[in-house]
Amino acid sequence: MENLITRPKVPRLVGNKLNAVKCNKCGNIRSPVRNYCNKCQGIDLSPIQIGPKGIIITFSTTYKKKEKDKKRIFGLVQLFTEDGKDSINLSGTFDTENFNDVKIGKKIELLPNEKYNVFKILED
Amino acid sequence: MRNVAVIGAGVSPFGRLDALLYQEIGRPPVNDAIENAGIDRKLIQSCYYGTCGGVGVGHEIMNETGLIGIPITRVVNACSSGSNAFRLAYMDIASGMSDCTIAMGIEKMKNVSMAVVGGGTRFQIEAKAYTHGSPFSIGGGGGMPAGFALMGRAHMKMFGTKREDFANIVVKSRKNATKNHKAEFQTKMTIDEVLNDVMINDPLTRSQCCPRTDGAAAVILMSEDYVKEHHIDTPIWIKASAMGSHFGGGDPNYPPGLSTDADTAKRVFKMAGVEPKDFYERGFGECHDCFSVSELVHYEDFGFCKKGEGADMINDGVVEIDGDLPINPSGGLLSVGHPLGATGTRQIAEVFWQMRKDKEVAKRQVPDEHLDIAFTHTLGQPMVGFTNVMHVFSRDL
Repeated sequence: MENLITRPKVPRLVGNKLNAVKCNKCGNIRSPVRNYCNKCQGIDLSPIQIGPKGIIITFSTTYKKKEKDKKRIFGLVQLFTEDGKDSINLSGTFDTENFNDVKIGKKIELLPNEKYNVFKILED
Repeated sequence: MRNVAVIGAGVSPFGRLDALLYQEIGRPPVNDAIENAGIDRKLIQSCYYGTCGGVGVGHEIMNETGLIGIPITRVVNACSSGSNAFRLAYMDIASGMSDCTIAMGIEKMKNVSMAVVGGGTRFQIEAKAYTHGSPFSIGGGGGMPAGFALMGRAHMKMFGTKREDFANIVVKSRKNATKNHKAEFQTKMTIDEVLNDVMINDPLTRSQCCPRTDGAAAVILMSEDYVKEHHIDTPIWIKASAMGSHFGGGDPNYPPGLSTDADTAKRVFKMAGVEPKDFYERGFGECHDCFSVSELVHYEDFGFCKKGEGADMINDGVVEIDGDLPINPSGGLLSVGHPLGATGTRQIAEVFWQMRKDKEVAKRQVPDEHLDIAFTHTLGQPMVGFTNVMHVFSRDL
């Protein structure tokens, strides 16, 4: 029987890049890292790193129930490998409280935060 | 597969029913459905019921309605629980196992502690580990409105859809619900009232999010043999049933929306032998408008218009009760409310009554020429992944 634990001891981030694996059989990319491909079930995987650059796909704001609540802007980004050949979609929050700073298609950079996905919006 | 018909339906009032027991909410629609079908309750051979929070509720209600003793199966599949229960009741008869079944859905939302509506469970924590890339993803923003807000904003950017377009869905929903005495909200809203309501997740204001509602609905299904044997004179036939799933992770080739909805629609229409254009000529439907964005995107997913043209359908009045393709004549989830387990069976009760021209829907009756075929659709997110269920109904066998 195969080992039931499928999570290699790999940190989520290396600096401001995401650790991921690419399946050498079907090309599927997954992060967080596992020791098998969830599409083709292959185990021939290559470790890759994704980020830190990406673009904003969509975004919205969190519900501010009380006046003192912080209104966060969150969304979905497409994060690329450095050569730009591969990407994954990733959700998280933006490091701004100004709604006007955020635009679909704008460039972002993943910040080194071990707990959450936080994106810095880059100037054009 | 054998032919199966819907022959009776019952729906409780929808609203905040905290003070009532499950049996007090569920017994009346079960009895109403049996009376509506005009059958002896002893004919019912099995029960499938959808609920997320109601453990053992099916047994309780079957006991209170003199049906205990038959096989009872609980179905938990988030917002699709009721329609999933109906699908199993249909398959039970279509396979030849039973000749008469009851599908029920019930929910008291206060009791729904599963991660579907939030709650710090292990399930939710595990879900967070998976939140990479879904436009519905809970990471970062939290909750269902957030996911549909992201979808709406992407739609605005890609196709120029305006906030007013989404708000118009609510205006239509509230207008229809003024004619539905079972709906939680029965008052009209103007477009300005919708837009100026409390902001939840931009661009979704509060009234563009369905309320957390309690309620129950039940429908009786019967085989063709039994329909003939028991002289049921107004059966509505189930022409197709389809279901799909999706894990999230985004649909890079199908933004903004879920490709699984489009896939399931194609399969259910093919199984029924109809095309989207047929609904313009002779049909109508009830779709899962959990948020204003959801209904607009589903017009496109189902092939009723091209991707990006959903706003035209609401702005041109196409989806009004007297329009070319009436959608959600009941008022939909946005106004009737959304008790997770009950919504699917409530939708089926609506199309059944509409096609039968039952007095229950007299004030919101879809015109005759649109009563030949109808569809229902629910989309459930059991926190990790999505489940959609669609059915097509016909007055003719």
